[in-house]
Amino acid sequence: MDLHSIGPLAWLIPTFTALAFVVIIGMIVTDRASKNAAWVAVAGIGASTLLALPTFLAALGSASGHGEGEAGGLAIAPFVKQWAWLPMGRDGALNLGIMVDPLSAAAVAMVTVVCTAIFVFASAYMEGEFNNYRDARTGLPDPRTGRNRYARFFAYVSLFATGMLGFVLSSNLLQALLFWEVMGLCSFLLIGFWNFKPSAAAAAKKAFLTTRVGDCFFFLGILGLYWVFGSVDYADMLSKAGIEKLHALAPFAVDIAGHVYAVPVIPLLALLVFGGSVGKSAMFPLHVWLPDAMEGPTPVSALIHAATMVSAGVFLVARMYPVFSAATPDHPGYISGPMFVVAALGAFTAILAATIAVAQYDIKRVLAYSTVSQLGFMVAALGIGAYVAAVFHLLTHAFFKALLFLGSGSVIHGMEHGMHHGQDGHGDGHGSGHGSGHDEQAAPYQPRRIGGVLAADPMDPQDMRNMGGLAGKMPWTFRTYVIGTAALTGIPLLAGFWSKDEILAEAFHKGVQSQIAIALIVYVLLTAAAFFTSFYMWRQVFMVYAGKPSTEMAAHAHESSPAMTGPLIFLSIFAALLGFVGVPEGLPGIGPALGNPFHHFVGALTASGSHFEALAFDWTPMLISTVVAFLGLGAAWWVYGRDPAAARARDPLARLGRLWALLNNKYNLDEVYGLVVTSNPRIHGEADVTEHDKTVAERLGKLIGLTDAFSRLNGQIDARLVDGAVNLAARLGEKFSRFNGLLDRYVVDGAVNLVAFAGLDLSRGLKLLQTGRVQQYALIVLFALLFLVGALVM
Amino acid sequence: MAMIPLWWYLMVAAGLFTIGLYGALVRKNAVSVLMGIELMLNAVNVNAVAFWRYVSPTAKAAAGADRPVGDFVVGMDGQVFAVVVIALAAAEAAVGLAMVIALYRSRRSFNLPQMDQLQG
Repeated sequence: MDLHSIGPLAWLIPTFTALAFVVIIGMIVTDRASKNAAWVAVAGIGASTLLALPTFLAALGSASGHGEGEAGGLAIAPFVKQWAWLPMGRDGALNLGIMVDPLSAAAVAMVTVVCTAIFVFASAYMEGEFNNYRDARTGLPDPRTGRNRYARFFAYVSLFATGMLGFVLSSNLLQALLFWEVMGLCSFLLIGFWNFKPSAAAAAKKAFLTTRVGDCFFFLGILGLYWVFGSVDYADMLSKAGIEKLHALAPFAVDIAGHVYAVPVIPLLALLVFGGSVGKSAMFPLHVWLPDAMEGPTPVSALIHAATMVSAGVFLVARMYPVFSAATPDHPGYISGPMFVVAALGAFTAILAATIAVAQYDIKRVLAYSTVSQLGFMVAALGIGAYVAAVFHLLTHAFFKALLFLGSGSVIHGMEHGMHHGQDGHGDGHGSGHGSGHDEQAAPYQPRRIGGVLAADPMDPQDMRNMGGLAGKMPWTFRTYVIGTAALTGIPLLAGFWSKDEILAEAFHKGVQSQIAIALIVYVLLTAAAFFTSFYMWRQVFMVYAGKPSTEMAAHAHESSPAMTGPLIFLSIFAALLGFVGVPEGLPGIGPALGNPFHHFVGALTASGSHFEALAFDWTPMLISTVVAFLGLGAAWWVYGRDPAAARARDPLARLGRLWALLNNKYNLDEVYGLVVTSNPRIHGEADVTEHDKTVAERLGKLIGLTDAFSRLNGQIDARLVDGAVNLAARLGEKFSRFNGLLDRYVVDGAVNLVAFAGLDLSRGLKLLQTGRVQQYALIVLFALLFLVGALVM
Repeated sequence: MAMIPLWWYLMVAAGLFTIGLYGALVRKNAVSVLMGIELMLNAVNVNAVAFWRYVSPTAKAAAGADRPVGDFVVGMDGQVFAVVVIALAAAEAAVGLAMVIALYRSRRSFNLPQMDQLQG
């Protein structure tokens, strides 16, 4: 199909899901919410998929149609259709529109396919909400609210998909920001979906506020770009002319206290835009919201942490890549200032999150940190100019991370059913749905710490220490989970192997062969992160699936319904095979046969005219990353696989002591934030603020005494000066009011009372006349008449 | 023929009126008061007819019979007054008695001095 026949319809792709959102909200307000809500949502995203895939194929056709020599027709001239939204300025306008280029076509195909799988999965996963919702306060069954909440969930995820699709397809930065914020709103609503849990409410606030910090920078970046280009359209910014305009800009002179600093414009703008990505894609230091976002229902975790929101940040950097690389002079292998920052931050985040993930016990938290780490991979790849590799990893990662999250959802679902099964004589065997915490009748769990690490709550269906032996109980979940893990850890021939290897190969090539320091650092850090990735993922597999069940819950777990395993199998096919679209051409054997279509499609991406050459194939990095992946697998087996039950009971790595506690507690970053940013340890998303947290917080407080002193000074100023002024105003106000009160009481009221009393006194005489006796009145009339007649006569 | 002089009629009417006024002002029984009012009305009737007969020019002419009959009919204003007053008195009696009965039902009494609820 030709892109020019189907392209004009691309705006329908986000519209279908938006319609689903409207319809479901309509169902809720007219009190018709039912299980149909899920099918409306699936129909919406399904329609989007059915339109997105032909669009993708058409884009593929028109990109390759022009041949390699012309650097891709679609990349030079992306398909753009836009409508003037807000005409302004001399001849400019803010537009709404769509842009189909290789990047957005590939992303939109990925998003719709993954979202469809997630929606189908969620229709079964959220049934607990539908059937067994109980009021959080009274504990009584509340089917009406349950139905509404079930429908509300699908309304939110539909709107979420709308946000991502609109963002990916948008033709300008401002529209992108709008949809970006729609995603932010939906993530707030979905993370806090179980809003009766204080931890979920806190996590939602944390996610919203943290990403908002990044969004401020993003918006500043948009304003700056508008200032430079007089337009926010990608077509104006990312074209050859646009990049030349950027180059022509003189540094921006800033006068600070008499010193004039020349601020280079390009890096400034690039880094401001990158600020948005740091928030959305959870780069250090704004990564803290993402692990807490696990408070949401598991399909949401899959939606946010795999297919959509977090990829949006990476997508943004990829989209704005010409601006990032604009400062690069025309010799290969030079890394510009902003790209240096991007690379360093990405690599640091990758290794930071990977090490934290090693020491987590919550099945979803491990995956969350893994996501942070993998996003670090992508960002670092963009930073060293490995554009194609980054986009490739973005796509493959979406599939296998969605698979892993849905798999963990299936595990949690099974564990919850096992938990209810274990409690005989407990009604219909279903508790209060997911996420409503522990059953009231179970013994309350007292959080306690062993060696600085929170002990397992025996009723927690997400704690890996409570699992084990699930391979036999949940065979399909297990098989697909292993495929996802293998793909993520880079076991050869699976999707993650090819994409991660491409990043590492680029880093190796630039770092070792071209002698670029930052690329070498990135290579070393990412390779280490890859080792940890392999280690913690296989650790998770061994803890969850191997050995004998550690608790009754795990012993009674059973396989989830086909509506849940179906999407798992569907996604695992992609996780296994998707990598073959990006196999290096130089690889002996299959390479030339497959021809690396992905690189040809995306590689000639930018309209700015840059073309990414595929690297000459090199065995060294591929062998190194394979060895690293298997080393991680082996180490995980050595530590956890030999005796999984014992490892669950007492973690062998706990012997690391304080280092282990530090990793488990995420380098105490939440406490640092609590002190420095929010000065409230309760805000950091975990409900169980224990004595340990407080002592950690105190110790850190001594470390950052400067902040403390400053806060104290501020506090003094606040108490004396600001409060003083306020109190003075209050006291003056009180005095004045008192005076007013007296005036009112004695002068105004006095006048009113005077009139009343005077009237009363005057009427006292007349009152005697009114006796109420008719005959006396008549007598008076008579005498009056006589008097009048007499007067008349005389 | 020597007619009964006018002032005789007027004396009778004045007597009737005075008796009626006295009754209306002094009697404690509500029915008696009504009767007093009737008396006063009838005194007025007597006056009206008497003045018509003696003072009104048309009546004089009719009595002398030197005028056409049509004028005589037109000149019956004193009698018309009397008829209207009788009708009015009947209506007044009906309403007044109804009120008295209503009062009696609620208070078991005709005693007017007790009915001073509108006292200021």
